[in-house]
Amino acid sequence: MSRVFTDQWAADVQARLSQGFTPQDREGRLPDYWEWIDTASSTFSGVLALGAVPVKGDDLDAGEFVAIRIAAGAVQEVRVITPSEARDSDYLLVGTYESWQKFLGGYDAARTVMYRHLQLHHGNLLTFFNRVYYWIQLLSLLHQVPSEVVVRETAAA
Amino acid sequence: MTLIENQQNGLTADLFRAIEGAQLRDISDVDINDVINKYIYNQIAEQPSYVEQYKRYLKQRWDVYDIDFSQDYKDWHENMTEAEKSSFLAIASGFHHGERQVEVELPVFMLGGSEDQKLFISSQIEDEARHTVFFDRFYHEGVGLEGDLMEVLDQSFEWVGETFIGPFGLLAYQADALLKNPDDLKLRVQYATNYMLWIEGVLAVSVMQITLRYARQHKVLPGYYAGFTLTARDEARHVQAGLRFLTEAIEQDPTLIREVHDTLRTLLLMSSTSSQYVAYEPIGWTRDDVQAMFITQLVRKMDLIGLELPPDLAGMVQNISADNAIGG
Ligand SMILES: [Fe+2]
Ligand SMILES: [Fe+2]
Repeated sequence: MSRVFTDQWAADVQARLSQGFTPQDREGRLPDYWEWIDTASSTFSGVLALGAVPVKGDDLDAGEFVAIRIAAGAVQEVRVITPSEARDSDYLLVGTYESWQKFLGGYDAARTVMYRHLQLHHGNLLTFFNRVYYWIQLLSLLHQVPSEVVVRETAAA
Repeated sequence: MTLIENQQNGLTADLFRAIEGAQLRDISDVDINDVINKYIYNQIAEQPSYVEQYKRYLKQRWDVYDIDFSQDYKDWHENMTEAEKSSFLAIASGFHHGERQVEVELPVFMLGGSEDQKLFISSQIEDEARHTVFFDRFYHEGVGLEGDLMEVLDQSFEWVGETFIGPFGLLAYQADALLKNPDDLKLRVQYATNYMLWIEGVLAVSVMQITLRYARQHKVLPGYYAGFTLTARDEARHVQAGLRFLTEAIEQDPTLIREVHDTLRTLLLMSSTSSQYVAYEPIGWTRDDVQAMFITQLVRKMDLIGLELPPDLAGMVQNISADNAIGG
């Protein structure tokens, strides 16, 4: 049974991400920053995968995954995938269940990356960072999607 | 006159000795401009060995717990305007986090170094830890924040710009990649281009001048001035040793020049924007001043490792945003 990435959550995420960044999302930050993000995203077509494993460093086969398929900056599809599909993604960000619970519970995306709660399993490091603010803002949108892992794990703790 | 002699112009033997040997009690006599724009370039052409740099470290080490922040507290709460404080925090917080990040990301770079380089890096790790404690003490005892190391960091993160994640997120992920392959010279060159050439050699040495010149001219925050000027002197060693590493790596394998350029391309792209303006004016600077410092420092550092900026990078340099008020 999945603990983080359910089919329902993936469908909700797809619904939200496919709307793109709304005027409210863009509020409080300079237009130039969003222009940078719009340019960075418009030149990306491929798959960003997200992964959750029980313990840091665990083999991917122990984890669960979701793929975010993007075409020229527009999110086309978000769906639960297998570990082998995750290996084929352009970029794979992996964290533990605990990290996902903390992040989806509202912890900011920048520190989630900086403190390695999410790590880049594969994908070219420099090209990933050529679009880094896009990835950070895209991840931040996940805060707007309710997640069972937050409720369930918090209740269990 | 070579560029290096030119950069040292005005560094007399007396001035060099005054900076080289300064202790905490007399560091307030030292002008930060002399440290960043003259002292750092002394003997850099001869590239002091890692062992010599380690010896300098032992002589220049300072005790971060000897700094007295009581006047800083008074200045912060009685003598600085709200606008000055808000500008100051927008700039100092990028260092508070930057010092912590460079401290924790450095050990992995030590693993693949030569024996001599390992020795030196052990001292740099200790320097960066001390710089982290310096900011922790300043935020506690000067500004008045409460909590343990991470709680204070969490509070000051509010003042850190969103583009901080550019170079520092890259550094974290570079350290992850190095952990898997500590001897991979390509990765090491990419890492040193970000850490020693860009974060320390361009951003830190530029941004340091902003708050330090303000504190010196307005005669405020003496504890901060003393500790951060000593920090700048430590950074001189870090930058010198980092440039030595890059020079030697490129000599050994000139195809590594491409790693320097590719890394810089990403860094310049990430630095071409910012999510908010930093108000430099209340503490006596303009965005043009700050951008000019970034450009000057980058051109100098490239010159010191004997590389030119290819045309596309030279064009990107003009787009560096002045709002990247970060360092480490
Ligand atoms: Fe430092
Ligand atoms: Fe440093």
